[in-house]
Amino acid sequence: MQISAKRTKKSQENSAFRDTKQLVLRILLYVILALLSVLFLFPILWIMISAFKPAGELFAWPPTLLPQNPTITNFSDAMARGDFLQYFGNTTFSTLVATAFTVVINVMSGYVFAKYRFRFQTALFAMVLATLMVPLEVIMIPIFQVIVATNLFNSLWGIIIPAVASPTSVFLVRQYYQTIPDEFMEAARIDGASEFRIFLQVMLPIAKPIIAVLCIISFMWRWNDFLWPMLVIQSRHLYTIQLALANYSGEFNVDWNSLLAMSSISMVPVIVVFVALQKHIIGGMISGGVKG
Amino acid sequence: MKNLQMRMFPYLMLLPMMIIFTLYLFWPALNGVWISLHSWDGLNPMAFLGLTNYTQLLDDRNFTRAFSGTMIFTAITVPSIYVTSLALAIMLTRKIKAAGLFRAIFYWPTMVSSIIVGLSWRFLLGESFGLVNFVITSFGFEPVRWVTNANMALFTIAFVTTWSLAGYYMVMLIAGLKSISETYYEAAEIDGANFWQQFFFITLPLLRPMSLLVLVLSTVTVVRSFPLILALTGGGPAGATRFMVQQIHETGFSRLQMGYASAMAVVLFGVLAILTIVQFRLNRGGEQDAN
Amino acid sequence: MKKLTKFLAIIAILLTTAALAACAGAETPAGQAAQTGQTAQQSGQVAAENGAVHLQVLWFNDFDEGDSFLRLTEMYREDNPHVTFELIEVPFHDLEDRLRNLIIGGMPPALARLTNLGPFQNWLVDLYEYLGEDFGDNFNDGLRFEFNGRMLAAPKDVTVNGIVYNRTAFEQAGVSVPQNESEIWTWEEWRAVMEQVVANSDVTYGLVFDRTSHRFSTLFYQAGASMLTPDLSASNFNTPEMHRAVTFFKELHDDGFLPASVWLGADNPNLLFRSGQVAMHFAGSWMLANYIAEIDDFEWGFTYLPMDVRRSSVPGGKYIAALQGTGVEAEAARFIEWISQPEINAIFMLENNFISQIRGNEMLDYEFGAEFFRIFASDLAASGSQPGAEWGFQEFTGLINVDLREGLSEVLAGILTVEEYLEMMDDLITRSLADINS
Repeated sequence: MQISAKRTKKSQENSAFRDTKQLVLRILLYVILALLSVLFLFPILWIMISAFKPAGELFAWPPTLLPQNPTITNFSDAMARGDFLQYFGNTTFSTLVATAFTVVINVMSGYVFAKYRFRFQTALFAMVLATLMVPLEVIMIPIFQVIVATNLFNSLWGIIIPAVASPTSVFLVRQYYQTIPDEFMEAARIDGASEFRIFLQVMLPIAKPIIAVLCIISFMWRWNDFLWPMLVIQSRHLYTIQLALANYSGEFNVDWNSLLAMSSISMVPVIVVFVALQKHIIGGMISGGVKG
Repeated sequence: MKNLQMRMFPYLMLLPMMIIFTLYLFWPALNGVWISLHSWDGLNPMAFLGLTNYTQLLDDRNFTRAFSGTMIFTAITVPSIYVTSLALAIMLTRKIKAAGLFRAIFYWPTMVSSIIVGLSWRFLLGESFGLVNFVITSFGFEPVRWVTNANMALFTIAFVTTWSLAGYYMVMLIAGLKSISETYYEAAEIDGANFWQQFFFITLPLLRPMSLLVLVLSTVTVVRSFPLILALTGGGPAGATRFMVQQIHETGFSRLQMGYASAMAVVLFGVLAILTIVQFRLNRGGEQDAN
Repeated sequence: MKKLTKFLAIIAILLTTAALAACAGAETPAGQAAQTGQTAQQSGQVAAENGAVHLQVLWFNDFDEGDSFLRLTEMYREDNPHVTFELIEVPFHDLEDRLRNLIIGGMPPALARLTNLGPFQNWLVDLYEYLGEDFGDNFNDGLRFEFNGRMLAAPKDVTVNGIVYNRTAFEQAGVSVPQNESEIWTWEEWRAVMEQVVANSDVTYGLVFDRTSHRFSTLFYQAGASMLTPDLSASNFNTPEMHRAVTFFKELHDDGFLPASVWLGADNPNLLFRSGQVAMHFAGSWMLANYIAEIDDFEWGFTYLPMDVRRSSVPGGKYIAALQGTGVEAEAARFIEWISQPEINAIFMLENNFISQIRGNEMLDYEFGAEFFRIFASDLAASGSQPGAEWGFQEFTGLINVDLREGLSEVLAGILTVEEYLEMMDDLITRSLADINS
């Protein structure tokens, strides 16, 4: 009691000095964040704005900061060269379904790796991590053979299913659950809850922040994925946006104008998803009640 | 019954993931190891060679150069990514206005395809026709040799790689920081601990599982990063930034030596596995050790 | 226990849904095509029975020549209504990977647009077998199409290496380009021109040079060098002529006429030229269509390639080939025959500003830049047969292509001397030839 009283007094003496120091630090923090924002925003923003430049101005020297003669021909030309509505639909479908599967499967796996002890656990986890390190480049041919054998070739399910098991996600969920104490599970077990029910009703709600992260990341992966669609999809009516974008590159020529225009548009849903979900990354824990 | 359920539960939870992994990754990967023992152009019948591809690797000047280049690049870039993303995460978990906006801004580069990232940085750091050199020369200074000087090129790709990945790991670290209970900091505050004391004695130890995650994931990503480097330096100047993945690619798909490329890939896998084990050891398995 | 059952049920439902979905996905028309492709023999029989033939064409686009090709297939269908076409479009850099996968996966496409026949020779249809030995007589020299007595593909559009120049800058500097063959620059004159244009106009650099072995080889052919002996049996790389070509190229860089960032970095020469800051772009005839579409702030044109001890360009281009094991080989070959007729071929060439290799289509009535096509034809005619023969030996060029380019970059960076480079390549070429023959 005495000690804490002393501390309070001391802190009161210092509080004026502290407040100014806090204020200076706070301003400094905003200045740093603003400068960093410019560094992170400018390069791509500039390129995106360049999508409104006519072909001649796009690579003119010295470069123009803003389009001198803004035009939307890059967009209209690109739209004319393919059924982007269809590609957009295909991408949306495969991304949403794959993200849902990714979250379910990987949260289940990451959770048991963090919270259970079972035979072959280390070996299984090592196997999961090992898949992270396999250079996919050289095994494309064997992977393709499996895709054909499992009847996934030229089907949207072929870009969904093989990619839903993700070592990164399992690892992410496992590490997150390791930061959460076991006491909740113990309490529920004493109450006689089944393991599955503990998972669903106690441990899953706690993981809301990491599920938000997983949704954001997985949505972005699938939306921007090029590797699996390239391997799996053949027909134009099944194209994803990234496949359509890739087709702007020929042997001697890249159609930068269309590429820039369509990439700008294709980024919008990823940004929307991030903005919508990012608030769940934080704040989950405090209401989850791990305090103390 | 309860006992059986306890024992079976973890395996059942792992089942869907394991089926997909086995089909689409383990099996093809084992195939890749098998290919590495052969001479193969990717199409016509294979010829068994045994370990010849591996012994040949030891004498391959280009491979040893790519190998050491990859290690140096990783040693520079991974710490740079970790420090940057942690700094961003810490700043954005303080009570500040518009934190959501800032998070979106820093995460943004992650969402852009590497073709566009490469193009935008070439616009900026283009040696002859880049905006930064334009500004530098208009002030009367010598242009910076961003990509044609070997050391500068390494710096350039390390910088842009950090720029493009920091936001991604920042999101994971924010989730990790937020899972640390406020009570620790409140207690430390009462004890008069300053920011750095709190950082070293509370934040870092309690963040250990997420730090391990970020270090392992970023190492794997950096070692395997290829499209961005290709867009920025093309592996140049004169091969100074040609790393293992590019080497594997050129061997397999330009020279059509798929067996030899697979042998390189197996070595790359081994290196990543060792790095990961070391990181696990150094992080004590990613267990929290604060009390 | 009840909970466990429930849990098991959920897992089972998840997996079944996934599996069912996968099967449902495979039942789309395209999925069926893939399945039937797997049993090509059967599908061929089916095709013969009901008369319908489906031809898949593996294709890549530099611009929108795919649209032009599709219009031709529509023309073909007017007389052959039983044939349907499907264009499988892939980006150029994935073309060969995709074709390899399709062949190994047991579902090769009927036709493919290729630039490189070497790796696929065992899988391509011998057109002589279906169309007769004299089918080859329809084509001029240029792209090689006969390998071991088999005609593996029909050359479609031919390209030649060439130089684009910034006419606005040349006019500003008061420098003119060669107007006819007698005015063609020697290397020394060429260098002097770069110097003059850089000094007297707004451009910063004299030349940008595509970073490929193929483009560089133009210079060494002009110097009288070659990679191989005329019978393609041994290395001819380590010669004084090759030394001269490499040294000349290094000097152009050292003197600052060429920006280092192309051969030592990843700067795109095409974009640098488009910026209007470079006097010339060493590329090829294919740039015509690109620059028509994309340069509107300065004047430009093509000019003759310079000469050293001789004139030379290097041919390249695209073929159309039919694949084995599709069950529709005969129909595919018949289509190749149809599309190779001079009047049909002319439509495709004119719509896309391409150069034809069909006899009788040497000089077409191009809408734009007829004078440039005369230059291309002149450069190509002066080239001799060695460039076409060496680059047509694709089993070989695949093995040395990357090292030729990377080694040259190391010479430019001062890591290798010219002598070391010639010895290294000579050694690699000898080993590669030994590998091919073993």
